[in-house]
Amino acid sequence: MITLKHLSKVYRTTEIETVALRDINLEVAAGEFIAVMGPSGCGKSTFLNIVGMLDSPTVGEYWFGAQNIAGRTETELSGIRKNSIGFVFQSFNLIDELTVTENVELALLYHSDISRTERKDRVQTALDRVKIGHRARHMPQQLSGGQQQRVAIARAVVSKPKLILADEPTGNLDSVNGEEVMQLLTELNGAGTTVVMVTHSHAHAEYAHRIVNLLDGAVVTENIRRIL
Amino acid sequence: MFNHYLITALRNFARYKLYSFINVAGLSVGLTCAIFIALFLRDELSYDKWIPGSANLYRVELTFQMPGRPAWPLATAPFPLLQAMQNEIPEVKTTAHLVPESKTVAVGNRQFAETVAVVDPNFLQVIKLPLVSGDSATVFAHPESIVLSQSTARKYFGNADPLGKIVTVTGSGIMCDRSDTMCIAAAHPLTVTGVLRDLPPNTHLAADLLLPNSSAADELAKGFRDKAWTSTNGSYDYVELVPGAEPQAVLAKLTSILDRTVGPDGLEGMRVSQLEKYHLTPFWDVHLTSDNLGGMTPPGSWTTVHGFAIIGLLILVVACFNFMNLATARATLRAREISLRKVVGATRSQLIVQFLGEALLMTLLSLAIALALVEILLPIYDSFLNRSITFNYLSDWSFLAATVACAITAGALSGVYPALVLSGFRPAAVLKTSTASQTGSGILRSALVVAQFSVSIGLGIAAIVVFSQIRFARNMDLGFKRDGVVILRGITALLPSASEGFAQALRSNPKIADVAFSNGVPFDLFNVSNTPVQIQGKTQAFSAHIVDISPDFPSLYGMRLLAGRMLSRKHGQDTFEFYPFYSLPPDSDVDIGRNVLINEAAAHRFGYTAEEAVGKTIAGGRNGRVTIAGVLGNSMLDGVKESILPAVYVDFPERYTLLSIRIHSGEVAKTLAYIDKTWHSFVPSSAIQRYLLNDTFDGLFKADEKQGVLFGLFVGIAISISCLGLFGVAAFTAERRTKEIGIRKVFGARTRDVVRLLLWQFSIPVLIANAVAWPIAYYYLHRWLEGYAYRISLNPLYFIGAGAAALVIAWVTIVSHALRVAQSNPIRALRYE
Repeated sequence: MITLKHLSKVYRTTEIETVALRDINLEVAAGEFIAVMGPSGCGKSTFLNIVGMLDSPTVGEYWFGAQNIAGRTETELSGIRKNSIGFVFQSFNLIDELTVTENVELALLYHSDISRTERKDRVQTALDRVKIGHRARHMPQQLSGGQQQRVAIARAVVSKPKLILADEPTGNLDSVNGEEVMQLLTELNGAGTTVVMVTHSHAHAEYAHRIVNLLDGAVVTENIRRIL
Repeated sequence: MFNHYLITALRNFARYKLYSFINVAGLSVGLTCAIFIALFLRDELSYDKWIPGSANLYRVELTFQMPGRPAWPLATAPFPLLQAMQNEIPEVKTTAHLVPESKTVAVGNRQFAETVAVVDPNFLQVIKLPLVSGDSATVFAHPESIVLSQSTARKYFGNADPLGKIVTVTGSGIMCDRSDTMCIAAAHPLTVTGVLRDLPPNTHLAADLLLPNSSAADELAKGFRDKAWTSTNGSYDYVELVPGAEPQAVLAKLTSILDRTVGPDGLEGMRVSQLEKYHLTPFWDVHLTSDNLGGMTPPGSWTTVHGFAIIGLLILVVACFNFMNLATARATLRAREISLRKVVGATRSQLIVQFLGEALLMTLLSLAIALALVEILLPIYDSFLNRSITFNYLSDWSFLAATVACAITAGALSGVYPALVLSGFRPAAVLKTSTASQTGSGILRSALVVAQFSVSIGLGIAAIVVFSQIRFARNMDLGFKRDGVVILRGITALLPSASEGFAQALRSNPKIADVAFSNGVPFDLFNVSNTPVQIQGKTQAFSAHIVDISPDFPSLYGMRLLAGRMLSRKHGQDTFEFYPFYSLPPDSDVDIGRNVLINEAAAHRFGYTAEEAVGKTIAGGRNGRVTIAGVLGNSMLDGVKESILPAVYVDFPERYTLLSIRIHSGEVAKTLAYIDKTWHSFVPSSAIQRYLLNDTFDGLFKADEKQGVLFGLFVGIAISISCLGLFGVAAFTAERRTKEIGIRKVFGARTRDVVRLLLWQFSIPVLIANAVAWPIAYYYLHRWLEGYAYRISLNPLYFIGAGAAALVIAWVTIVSHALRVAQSNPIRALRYE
């Protein structure tokens, strides 16, 4: 599903050049669960941003399915993103002014082909799936961290993406809530969604099929934990 | 999607109440100002356009170009001009005169002093003023008829139908031969044949009573009507041109007409076309383009129209800058939301639409508040401007639509930059940390604050200068004493034999210090003529006022005698029996030996000091030769805006039209009542017309003072809006620097060090604003002051004062935030991130 070939990312200012990713070659199969690990500053977030088409590589190729992502306009990328990728963040990133339902619905608002009725149905389904339907009218400030992350996951899956990118999804949660989130991600993966997760937690990395270790912007090891 | 955007916008407004309030307040006030100014401009531009069939009407205006003095533009023109134009210029379709005359109107046993518009019988067919009763084609068919305005008819007859009623009109006797007692006391019964709808304020015409000049009540002598080509005597001349006619082509044909009328001998060798230049002012433009002397109503000016339009625009711009600044400064608060929207697939254009929509929503809300404020404040505004400006949403739907369109445009323009900034967030940088770095250009934000304060400081300097100029003009030494002087008009209604008796009767009252006759008084030289004069034997001539005064006039007004002596009835040669310089019969030398006074300006123009001028002979007019008996100090009889002109003072009792009465202070009402009673006993058929000289003096400054007050108001509004914005930006900036300030405090910074730091940050834009505003203000104010003959200089303190005030106001605005942040616990500050 994802193919990265000789992909590098360099940040340049007038005085400093920082190599965030260095000659990455990686393939992620459809339905795979990948955990990306490494020390702080090794390029994990940069890696995720490029895979999520929120940033573009300096050199190299990025193929998403059969589509070459290089050279695409922002409008094209946002189109691919909204149809194919869901995001889960460490700090949840819910919009404080919107209710739980409205936060989840946000992911469908920019799909002009989805009717209002269908939108409502899908939002309800997503909320039920993460077992947060009883808080549908609450504001994010009224929820616990674990509940907020479940809402974020509902938002990520409501558009039925092929890929979920999770950037330290359990980083702000206690162990119980963290386990709940990992169970959800595993269930989603089991249903066929590809998951790429950045994490510092070895325990949570064990949920993945494969662990990719980054160091100084490069892939140093890949450990297969489970068979796809 | 629209619902979603609306809900998001409203919840954001509610969440950030302070910033929403600041934005809405600033925009509302800015829009309110702009609407008030637009209403004023609409009123100014609407003058006379409501009169049907007036598109091809023009007012003929004369400018005298006399040797040795600046051009003298008048709102009037010679009476005989129109007939000649009608006869000889085919482009002239029709003409009409209007000559205001002072009259006493008696209804039963009540008397009213009125100004009556004496008009050609076809006047209402040329200038189609609306009649409530009567037919414009026939109201003046009978000469002894009169048309009253609705309010005048109510004043005279209450609710009774005025048509067919009789009013008796007595003139001022100004055109009567002074020995013709029948003429002076003549009372003319006139029949009311029509009622005119009250003229609205937006017209340059003043006409509450109209009577035809075919009536015996018209005092304008036939000789004047037919032959007076070099004076106007208050005649307003209107022409209607055929459609498509070019005014310049019409004026070009006047030269030959003019030069046939009066030969060069009568004008000391000048042709009439050299002395007189004419202008055809479009009827609709008379109010705004005519700064000529002697308009019927106070004129407006294009300078005022343009000036207020610019001010309205500037205030709106200041309010819009507020919005832009606050929206971009606070953009980081919405960074996460914006990034998420991009992550879930929103394009940049969709985000721009969202934020532009929020800007427009805020603008429409502000507009609703502004319209409410306009409704509430409109009566006060009207009262201040002395107008009746209205704003009816239904009947003024086009104005309302234009207002909404302008507000939407302003909202859209203000919202574009913040929308571009907000929609430009890169989600990758934001979503990891849920924070964003500084949004938008800090330089642009500072530039907006600079622009706002430049406008405020510029207007502040203008307000200081306007008020200073007014105060200077009010306190100038006028060269005469104006306090405690009552002016009586219409003295010509007194029989000549009764004039001295009347004056004695007044002097017998111990509260009356002195009385003096004249044909001109300070600020009213309407009846004063001008004649080229020169020292006998020298060639250089210049035009001088010829002011008729009784010998006690200079002492009544406290005018200084610089050299020689005052005029006196004890010296027989001090009094003229014929009009000075134009002796009758022609070519005789009756002036020889007669004495006059001159002012210091005339002595200077002659090339003499005051002492040297005494005893010299002045030649002028047809064959006049008079001797200078004394030289008076300069007096600003023309008012404070004009330079002092040369003047010759002569004692010619036949031409007295005014009486000046100096009264002692205390019991003024009783003294005035005595004057009224004495007048009535001498002239029972004529209503008294009197006023206090100081009221006229105050009236000279009314327009300027109102402008000054409006300036001050606009300054206050502009500064308030700027400070609102500064308050919001300062609050936000202070919050953003919380971590930095915490670190500074940990390392030993005191509260005052932190406060100084924050105050300095916002002082820089204000100081730069001074550098921008000062040269622009200097340039325009210097030009404005050049319109005053006597003026202040642009003192640097005006600029420094305005700039310092702006700086202090800015500090006061932001010091609360600075103190709050400076006094916060550094631990809490360091936990901020």
